[in-house]
Amino acid sequence: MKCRACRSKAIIDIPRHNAAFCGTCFDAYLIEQVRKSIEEYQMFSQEDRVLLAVSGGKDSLALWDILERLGYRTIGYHLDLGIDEYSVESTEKTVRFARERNLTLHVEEIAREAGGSVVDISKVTRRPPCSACGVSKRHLFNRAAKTYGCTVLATGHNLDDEASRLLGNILHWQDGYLEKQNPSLPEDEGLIRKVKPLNRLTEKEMATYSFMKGIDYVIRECPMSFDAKQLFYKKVMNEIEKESPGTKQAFYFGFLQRRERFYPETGDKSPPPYICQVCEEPSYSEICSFCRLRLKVTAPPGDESLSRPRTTS
Amino acid sequence: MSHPETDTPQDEPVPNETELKISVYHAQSGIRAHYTYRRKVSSLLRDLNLDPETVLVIQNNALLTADERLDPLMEVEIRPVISGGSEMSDGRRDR
Ligand code: SF4
Ligand SMILES: [Zn+2]
Ligand SMILES: [Zn+2]
Repeated sequence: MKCRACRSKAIIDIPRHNAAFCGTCFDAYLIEQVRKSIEEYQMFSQEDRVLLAVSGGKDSLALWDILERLGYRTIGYHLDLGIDEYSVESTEKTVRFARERNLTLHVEEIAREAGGSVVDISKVTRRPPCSACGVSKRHLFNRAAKTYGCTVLATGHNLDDEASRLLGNILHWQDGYLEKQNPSLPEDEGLIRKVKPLNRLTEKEMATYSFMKGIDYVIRECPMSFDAKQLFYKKVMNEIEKESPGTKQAFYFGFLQRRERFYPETGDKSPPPYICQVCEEPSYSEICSFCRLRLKVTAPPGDESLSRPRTTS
Repeated sequence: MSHPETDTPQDEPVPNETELKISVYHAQSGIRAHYTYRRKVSSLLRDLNLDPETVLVIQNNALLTADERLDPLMEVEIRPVISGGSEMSDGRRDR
């Protein structure tokens, strides 16, 4: 297989663009895709301070590398989820990545901030681990962005993440989520602007970039992800893509083009009616989801007001 | 795991070398295993029931595309690219 641009030996085949690239041309293609997303969706400028949520996986570490190359001002933030060896490895690799490149990184532990690991929270709250993890991440990422004076929060979600999420949201007609499925969510009532600069690139492209750049990332899966529906939706999307290359991208970007028509901005932002009594962030109830979760996890045994019994069965 | 009978005519098992095996390292599980050698990357992936879009195939520290030849004497790394999990929503209402 030859590079479409320079005819030397290709290292990656990109069926949806009917293209293949050598290492050098692939690098130029990938950087251009990220640059295009940042500009087209007005994600941030050179003046912004970008808080980057880094998990230790290929996407977020590669994104950090790319944003640095493009000359943006970044600060890394890693949340240690306390999921055994997986989290130990994730934290180690993230810290090493930052140290080797002399980048600013802040690490927090969910056990310290929420009173327990993702597994503990999941048990106490009887929520699936990914839901407990999601509530904590949203709260702590947002808090970190404010703490470190950042104007925008960037995550490493890629095209596969976004297309599979879109499929799931459409299958269940999750209007509230569809309305917000935007690679550049503006700042909104105490929640910082949130952007996804990798939304044009697939998992394979991000893994290829990480390999080429010698980025040492966590290859194994989060052990909690086995029950995640998103993996199933990804499989379904990949099956469709195999038969009809380009469908994934057309599906996702077709939605983005129609999003405003389907879900017009009403101008009525309906801000959250409460200020959380514990953390003083805007909230939809007197105590926000994160603080409720934290109170349950840290409640003394026997306190049934917020906590449920820790041991069942 | 290896199924010579499902192979396509373009890449029949190599004559007189049907016993030739190739060592494969599955990077996500950390498992090493041996499979019937195929000349082409795409044939090995078909044997393993893997979609080329979901894995990197690495041999001798280089990435291989699906149409390339495998060296039977070197280990091949299969590195899945799919990351799992993550909550489905952006959950702005869920604070
Ligand atoms: S798979 Fe679930 S628990 Fe693991 S990091 Fe992702 S959201 Fe969190
Ligand atoms: Zn080239
Ligand atoms: Zn709160």
